[in-house]
Amino acid sequence: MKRSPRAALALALALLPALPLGGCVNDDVHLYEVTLRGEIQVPRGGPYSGHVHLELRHARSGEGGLAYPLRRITTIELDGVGPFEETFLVPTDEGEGLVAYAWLDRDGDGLLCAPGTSDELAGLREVDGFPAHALEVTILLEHPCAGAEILYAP
Amino acid sequence: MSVAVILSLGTFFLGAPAGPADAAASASAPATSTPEVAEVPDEEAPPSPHTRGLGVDVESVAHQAAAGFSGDGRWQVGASAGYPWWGARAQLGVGHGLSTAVELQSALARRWRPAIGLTSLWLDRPRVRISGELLLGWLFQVGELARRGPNAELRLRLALRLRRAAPYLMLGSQHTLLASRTTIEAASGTTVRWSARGEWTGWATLGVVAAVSRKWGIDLAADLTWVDAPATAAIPGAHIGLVYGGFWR
Amino acid sequence: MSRPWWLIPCALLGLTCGEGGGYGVDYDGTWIPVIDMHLHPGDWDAIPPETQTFLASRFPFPLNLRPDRTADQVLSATGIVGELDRGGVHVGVLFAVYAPRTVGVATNELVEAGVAEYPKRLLGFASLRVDDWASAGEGELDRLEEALAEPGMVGIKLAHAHMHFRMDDPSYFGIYELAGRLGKPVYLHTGSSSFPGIALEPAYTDPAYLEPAIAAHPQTIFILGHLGYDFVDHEIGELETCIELAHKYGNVYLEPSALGSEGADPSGENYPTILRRIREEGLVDRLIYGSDGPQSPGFVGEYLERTVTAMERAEYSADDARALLSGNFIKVFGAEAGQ
Repeated sequence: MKRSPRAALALALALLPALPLGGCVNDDVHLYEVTLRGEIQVPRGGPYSGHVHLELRHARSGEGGLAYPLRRITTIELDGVGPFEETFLVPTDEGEGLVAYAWLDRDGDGLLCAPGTSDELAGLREVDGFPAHALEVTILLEHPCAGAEILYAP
Repeated sequence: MSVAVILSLGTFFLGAPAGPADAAASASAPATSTPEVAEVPDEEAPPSPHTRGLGVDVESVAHQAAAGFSGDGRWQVGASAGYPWWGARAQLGVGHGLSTAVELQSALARRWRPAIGLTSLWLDRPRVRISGELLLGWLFQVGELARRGPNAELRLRLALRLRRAAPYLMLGSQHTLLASRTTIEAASGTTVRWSARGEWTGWATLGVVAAVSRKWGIDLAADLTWVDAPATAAIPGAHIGLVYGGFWR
Repeated sequence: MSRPWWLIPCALLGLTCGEGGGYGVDYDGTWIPVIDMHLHPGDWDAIPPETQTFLASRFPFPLNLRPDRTADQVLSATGIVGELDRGGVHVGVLFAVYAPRTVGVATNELVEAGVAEYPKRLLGFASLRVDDWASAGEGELDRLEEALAEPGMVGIKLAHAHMHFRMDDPSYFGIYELAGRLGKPVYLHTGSSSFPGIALEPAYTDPAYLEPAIAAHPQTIFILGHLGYDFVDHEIGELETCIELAHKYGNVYLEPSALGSEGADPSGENYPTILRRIREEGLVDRLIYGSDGPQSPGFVGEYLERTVTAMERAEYSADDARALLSGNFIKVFGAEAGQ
């Protein structure tokens, strides 16, 4: 059967739009917006001056032998202890559950308990109800110099 | 699916020359054939106006392959294997100094690029040919560095014509658009944002196509490719290929 | 001809550190055996996907299309011994790692198997998980002790930045107590890292935060890996802190792996500068060689060559070079491993 080159070219061009059916999305990121309301508290009589560093983390990430807790999502700085309301974008493909960890930067050096400085307080709470767009949490900062890892039991 | 489509296009092109090529093959050998050409009994193609006086009076498939260009009424197919690249290509001369091509390119069966192309012969001298080619296709790469997206490539070929061989240099600039999507699910609704980045691959192939006969050729080449430059370093490769062609009208 | 003094601990270890076999380097006309105390065995499937992508992106094309094949070629015990052979390194130390966030998991059992397969060429460091320390810590310490009882398991590997636990948190000091009780030195990753998932805060990277643990465990040998190098910005980082700790505490040793690689020290100036500072401070007798290989085919040998070049530029004598490349390792590990 004789086929003309024009027909061949026309067929090729006609089929070109079918190529995207193979997919064109590379990174496909899903973010879930959460507005977190709550309060950062310190023990009665404890130090309360200084900025608060608030970290949002996934409770669980990974699978099987590579599963681990407390994958960090983001860190923000609050003006101080007390009530707060902040909006976060949570990457839902990277883990499950939410944990909020905070510590009070008493000396303003941006470091939790740097060598040679006085103790600073930290606290952690699992945020119940995720996924939901509005969540609440209260964190009591009562553990001196504690990293998130030692305060969380998976 | 897209790969299958391209392969079916290749089949379309492959099927095209059956009738006309046979007709061409039935033509008698030119009276001006040199002893060298006469050594190959199956060569029955008409002489090329550009090759007279060079001892090669006919347009061999090897010369077409080296230039990436088939003259009006000619076709050819080829396949190559090597490390890391292998590929398959069909090209068809459509006259007016143009030929069309369908190509499938792969590296280690993890990176695939089917494409269709149009080649223009810019310089056609007895011993030298220069052609330009535009290929449009789709890139699929699987594995840890998965990527996909529309791909375009510009190629420049310089091919020489020796008695039974055609050394060539091909320079390519391959561009892929890689789109990414971010979906934000908020209380007020879902929004989708798109972003894109480009992947550039620089390409240089230095090789020679040896004419086994007018219809058959063997391609040997070194491939210097810089995939995803400048982010990634690259190791040179090489390939060996076979080309076969004839006439479709 | 009598054997040099430094071959005696080799004999205790059951190793053949002789001049035969092409192992060792010629430094300033002196032949020196080489022990690489920092090697990572592994399995591509035990690396988290994010890190697989990260590693693949660092391989050249087309190796990055099949990074699993490239990695598995060099990550097995056989592959590592092959890299030691190519690099002229006689003995290597395999590290177990439990860092599912970053580099993945190489179990104690994997290391033990490698050491058992090549008992004359490989030694091992065990490690443990710290993800759920409050409830699982005791069990992890028991498992660590069991692993250290296996033949050829001579030390403990920790990487606070990869494992995400603070260097100064006394909750984890039981690890150092165990190390001291068993006479097994502890290797600690110090400095930053460019791996995804790493904890980059100073409490996880800055060796200054280790001082309470070092001071509280004088019987435990602390080997400060990478000398606090800043692998993110390719800068010398916390070297001076490491030097200060080594001066202050006799149980502190220093290890310069990875920081002198082409990727970590693009200018090639940092590595000799670091070695020179250590020589100037009189701390060469605390320096133990490691490469942080195998990373990619040929890296083990390449790092050794870069180390020799850096030593020459830092004006190390042949004795200094021997101390770094094998002598100090034998001094620290010889007796324990020979038992």
